[in-house]
Amino acid sequence: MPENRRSSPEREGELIRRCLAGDTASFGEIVESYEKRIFATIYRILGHSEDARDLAEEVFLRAWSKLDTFREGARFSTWLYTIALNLTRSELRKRKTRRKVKPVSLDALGGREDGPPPLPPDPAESPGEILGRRELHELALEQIAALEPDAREVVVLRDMQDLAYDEIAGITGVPIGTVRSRLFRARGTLRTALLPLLSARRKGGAA
Amino acid sequence: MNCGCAREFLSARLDGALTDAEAKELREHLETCAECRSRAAGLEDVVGLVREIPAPELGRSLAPDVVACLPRKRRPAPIRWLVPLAAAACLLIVARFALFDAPVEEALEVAATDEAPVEKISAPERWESGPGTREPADLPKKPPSAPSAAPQDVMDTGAGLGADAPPAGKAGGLEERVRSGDVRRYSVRGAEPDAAAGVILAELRSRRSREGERDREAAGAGEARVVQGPSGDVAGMVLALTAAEIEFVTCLLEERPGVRVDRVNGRGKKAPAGAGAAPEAESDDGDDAVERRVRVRLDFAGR
Repeated sequence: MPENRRSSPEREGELIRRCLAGDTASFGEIVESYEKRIFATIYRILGHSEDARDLAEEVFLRAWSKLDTFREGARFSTWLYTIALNLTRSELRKRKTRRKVKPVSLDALGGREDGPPPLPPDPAESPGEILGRRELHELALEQIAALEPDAREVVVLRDMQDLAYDEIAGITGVPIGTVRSRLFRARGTLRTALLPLLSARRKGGAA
Repeated sequence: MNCGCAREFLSARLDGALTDAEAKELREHLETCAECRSRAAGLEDVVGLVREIPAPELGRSLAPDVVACLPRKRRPAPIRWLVPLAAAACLLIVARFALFDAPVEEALEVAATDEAPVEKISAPERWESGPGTREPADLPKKPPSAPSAAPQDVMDTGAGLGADAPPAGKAGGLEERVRSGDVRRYSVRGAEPDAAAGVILAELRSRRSREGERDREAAGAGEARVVQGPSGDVAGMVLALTAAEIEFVTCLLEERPGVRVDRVNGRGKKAPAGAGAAPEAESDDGDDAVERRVRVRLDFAGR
């Protein structure tokens, strides 16, 4: 999971107070504390690194200008993630309309919304070859990028950002039960696509 | 339970999201259902794989670019501002002793030379932020005959001005600095001077003692002086501030409705959103301990 210089809640409250008084250096500290997490979330949902960096900066600029709307007592991380997710969603909507043209780059990490990519050749055809962990990661990322946005969001927030159900519910704006069922369906899709590769990798193999 | 429910439970179980009752139901089902058992194992493999994918590299921190783009003004935040006059006076007294640790300087001489240059600036830079002029005549607490209006109770550290500023007390030197913009003058209008000065001193002191964790020397090194008008009320302040502190104080003041802070002298126009202080005092990293301190004068123009 992405690590950041995490501030204690007291320190964070103090920093926010100072930001509200106009102290930009304190905001810089908040940025440093959250930037890796916010960047990783955007990157994994969008699948494109240049946009992710720009958008992450945009998240923080918006947070600064709306800081007085942050209710003390609420969780700051949830608030920040929500801004990030809203920006990511609009970016995805923008891309959808642009996407009549086939993307030129077939970067394995790129977002694909036209269906799952074809799976690599059956490992059983090359006996003895074991898929390296890194290849597996890339394949998993491809499959995640191929998920519907709703499903992708919960997988990224839960299994990559390690957020709890209630926080995910707050960020995505749906009830906890919906988070739970979306995760169930998303994982089912991933399982179907990835399990054959995992089985081939493991000596024992599973059903 | 049927397998469909069990599968859903399997997913929630990975997140520790099952109630005790649900966990019990699932356990009992798995005892009898081999297919669901193997499904559980497969699911754990896949989710385990996703969870171990390393995070993407951010590379360079976003903080410098973000901080550089922050608009200088913020919408007002609820800060308790109204300090009763008595409390403000107490703060002034306390703050003086806390911030200054040098004997009283040649107060009269310093004050005199400080007053004089006001009139010598014939055409101060005009900010376009609103109507009104900033002629020296607009500052009612500053009678032109400066030397006789010697402030009664002024303390000055005399130290901590920074290597780049000539020592106080030299009339010509101060004039030079004022004209060249080394001393920044701001006119503060619409603020109750005693309360404003008290709050500024208190906030700066507390801010500096927090920052002092990083640099103890810098925290206490700021020179600060309150200038009193002939009737003994607060007419202005002279401080040595970093660029971040200038912004901090300006925002503190402007949060109050009706309060305006305007730069009176200086090289160029006040930069639009984002820059705040003039370039020579800004540092990229926002680290007060490393930044230069600039001499700043606030003139309270009254209501």
